[in-house]
Amino acid sequence: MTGLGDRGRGWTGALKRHAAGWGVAGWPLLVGALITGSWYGGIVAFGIPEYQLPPPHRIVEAGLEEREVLLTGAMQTAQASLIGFLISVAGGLVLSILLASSRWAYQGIYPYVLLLKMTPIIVVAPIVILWAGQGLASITVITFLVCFFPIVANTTMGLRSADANLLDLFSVYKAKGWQQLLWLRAPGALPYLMTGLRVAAALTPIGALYGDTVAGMGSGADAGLGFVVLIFSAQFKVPALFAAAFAACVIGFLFVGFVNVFAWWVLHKWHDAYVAVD
Amino acid sequence: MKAAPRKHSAGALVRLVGLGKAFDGEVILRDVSLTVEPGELVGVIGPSGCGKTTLLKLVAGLAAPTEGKVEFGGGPTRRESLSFVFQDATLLPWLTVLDNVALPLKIAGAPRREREAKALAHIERVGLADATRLYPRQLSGGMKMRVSVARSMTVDPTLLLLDEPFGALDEMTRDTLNEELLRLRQAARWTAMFVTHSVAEAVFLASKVIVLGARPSHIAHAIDVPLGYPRSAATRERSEYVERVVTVTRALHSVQA
Repeated sequence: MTGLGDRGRGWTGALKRHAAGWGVAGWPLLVGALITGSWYGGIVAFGIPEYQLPPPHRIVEAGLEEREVLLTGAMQTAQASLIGFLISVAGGLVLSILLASSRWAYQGIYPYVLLLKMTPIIVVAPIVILWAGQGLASITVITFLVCFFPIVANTTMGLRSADANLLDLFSVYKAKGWQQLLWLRAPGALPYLMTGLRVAAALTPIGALYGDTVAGMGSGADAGLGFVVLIFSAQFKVPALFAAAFAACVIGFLFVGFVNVFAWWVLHKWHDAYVAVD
Repeated sequence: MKAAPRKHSAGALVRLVGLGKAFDGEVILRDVSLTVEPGELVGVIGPSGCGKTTLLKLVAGLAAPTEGKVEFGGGPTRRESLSFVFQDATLLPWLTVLDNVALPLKIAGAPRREREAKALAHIERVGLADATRLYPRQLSGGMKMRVSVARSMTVDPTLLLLDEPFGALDEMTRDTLNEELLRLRQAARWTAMFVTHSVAEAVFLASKVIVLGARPSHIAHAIDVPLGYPRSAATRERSEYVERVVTVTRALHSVQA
């Protein structure tokens, strides 16, 4: 082959080969370097003061200076996230099974689940605090409220969308209701549940951080990251504020990463979408 | 079944009596009466959308007739010994071949050791002994259908219902699977009712071909296929076979006209 085919393979081909060699680390590093470069460049070029955009090395310094507060805060937030997330999973599964168990239950209960979802958390939070007080309990409940809907919505849909022929198959062999649920509907709902978990995992730290800002006062020295952000903001510690944002980012990454690995482990043997992932 | 069987149905395995089905007021099937004797293979063919699959689902008890009834009896047959092969393989994607084939036994409550041994024997019979640990996504279309057939055999069916079982496969694979199906029947002696849109398949498998008319469908023709069993690939070259293919094709054209 000559002409277009060869030229097409020329520099794009080389780029592709390099891309394969670089793997997953090379490109992100390059883009990261570009961003950092223009960050410094922008600060110098436009004379941006530190209280508006601190240079990256100042953020690292502030992060190290405040490491104890940040670490404690991150641990607190991670704890609230984890507890809220686990309660969401447990509660979400039970509710999903109930919702999928009969048309009556679905039509009767689902509108109220939607109602709960539609009520903004900012409005609900003060009520939660009224009942559970300042501190971890309220933060956990707020986290739960933020992340349980995607789990319920996705799992319910999964449980209800079993293939009609497979349902017939189970009928032909006189399967009982629990056999159909356990061996057909539940495994079939797993990909949906995993989607719900991924969405919920991304929302969970946001819920916990927001919980910190409204209910973190009672925690005192053990304040979560969201409350730490409030304090840094009030003290005008801008580089530390950026460091706190980075810490929150790490928590989010860990959560989503863990759920992705879990989803892969559960589904990779049989589900097409996960088969190719390595 | 406590009622004394009527004289003419003494040997019948299944009797469809004036069977009718309507969906939302639209009549799909009308006055279908048919007796299936033990050992028969009844092929049902007809224009697309004529209610062939519906008829099979009524027999399987997957849908309730709006008129008439399905009678089992005149022998030891109960509905429990009925098996169904679906249009596509209808396997559970999260189960291995072994677990898929063993599923009907698992539902029936058979202990693991027993159901796996039995499933394994049926898997070997369809030539998939090397594939027991594979998942459905790793199988070809033909292999999936073999798994589906093996699964239907695990309950030792008296009556096997097949809904266009090999319709999605290429002709070569389909022919091979038809021959294998008849080989399985030589060993197990089930009675079958199957739906197809292939005249050649209908004649090759069936001892009797039922031609359904256009909607609302009824039995337009019932054509005997006196080829006897066992049959093999060579059967397709016999003049009686070719003759019947012509007869059924003409009957099919007459209901479509």
